[in-house]
Amino acid sequence: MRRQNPPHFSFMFLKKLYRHNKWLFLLMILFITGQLFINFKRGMVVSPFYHYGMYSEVMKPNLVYGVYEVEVDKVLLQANNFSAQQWDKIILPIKYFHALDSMNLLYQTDVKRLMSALNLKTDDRKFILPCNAKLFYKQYKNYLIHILDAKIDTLDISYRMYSFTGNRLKPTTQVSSLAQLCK
Amino acid sequence: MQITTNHRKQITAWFCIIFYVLMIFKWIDGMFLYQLQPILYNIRFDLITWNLMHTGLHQLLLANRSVFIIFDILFYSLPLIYLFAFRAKPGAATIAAGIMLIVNWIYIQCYTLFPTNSIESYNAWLLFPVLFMTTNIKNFYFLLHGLRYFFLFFFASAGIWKLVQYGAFNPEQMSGVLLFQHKEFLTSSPGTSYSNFIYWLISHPTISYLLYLCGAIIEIAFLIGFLTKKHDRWLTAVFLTFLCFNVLIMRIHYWEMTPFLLVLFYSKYSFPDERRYFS
Repeated sequence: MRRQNPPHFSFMFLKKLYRHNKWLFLLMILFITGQLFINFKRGMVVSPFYHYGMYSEVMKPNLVYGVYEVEVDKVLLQANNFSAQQWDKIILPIKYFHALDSMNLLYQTDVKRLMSALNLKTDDRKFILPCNAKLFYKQYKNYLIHILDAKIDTLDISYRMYSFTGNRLKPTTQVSSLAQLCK
Repeated sequence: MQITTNHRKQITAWFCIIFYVLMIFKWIDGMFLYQLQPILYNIRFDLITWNLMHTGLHQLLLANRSVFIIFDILFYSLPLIYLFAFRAKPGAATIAAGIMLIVNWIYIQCYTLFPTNSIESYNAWLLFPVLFMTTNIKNFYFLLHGLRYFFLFFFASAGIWKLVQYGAFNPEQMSGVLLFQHKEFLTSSPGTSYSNFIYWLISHPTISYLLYLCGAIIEIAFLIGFLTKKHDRWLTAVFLTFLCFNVLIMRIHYWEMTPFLLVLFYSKYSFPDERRYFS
């Protein structure tokens, strides 16, 4: 008679593993504990234990959205002309620059506190990036020349507010320059 | 049928095939570090990342751009070196897998500090080297299934987060998500077919919400894998559909997760010497 395979409940798996190799069992128990702890605790993560809750918090359509705009030689770059990855390469550095204030604040408050609580040293120079719009503009222009593989005479980076009305995003006159994104 | 060293060889070969196919696409998109030449980094809320940043490696990379190419060469050559080592001498393969584990960790930690992708999508490259470090087929079986459980958890927890954070109960959720995700696309490329499609979804919140809800239910359905392996083929199909929909609707690429297809496909092979553990 054909022998039935045993059911594959996860606890049966752990029982089998325990009988086979106690060190591997311990390693997996630690991994499971770490993963569950990070998920229950929320907040800080410890690689390779992450939260996978992207877009799980409540998000309703807003009245206003801030949008990054990049104009090369007076022509607005259009996402439609780039793959998703290529478009990310254009926009993400500006988002990172815009986030510098909050990133530096995160370092000054939480990173320093948590690292010292664990008796780990921190060095400001390894974490803090200065908010220097002129330097970023120069570096980003060279970066864009490199990734677009094109000559750039003029480059304009701005952060424009759009209102969401009539199921469409419509531009407003409220625009921030690159220098205003990081103080 | 029991898992054998032949299956292990197949898994190793498929892992390398997936890795190098994705590498070609990354190169075409100019996503190697030497092509990207990033100019700044971010700080994520990750204790391990902070320790890596404390070494200053990320700044060393930004200051010495020629090091980018060394990093790329190391990262992209190691699976092939492992494959050759595995075929020549299993003992050497363990060392090669150990080196791959260390290099992958450092590369991915640095790579995702720069404006590229989120680190969560690179789990396969972070964890699979652990599977390849063992030469014992029984340990290999357990690690393979450990990865399978991790993958099931990855999906199921994403669905559970949507419940506990109430996103799944918000009828306007997907409209809000689409606006946030595509605002640059919608404003820079109005009138294109993709913009019209996204606007259509936004203006039909019931339809877009049903898409979101279906996504959450599908993610939670991965919990079934903790009880039985019988439905792993369906989970494979669902996973591939999920990846395609993510590209189509969200313009988010999770192709780096595809090595996890292997843990679903090869889960059907049983443990060598099953009787000993169930007698």
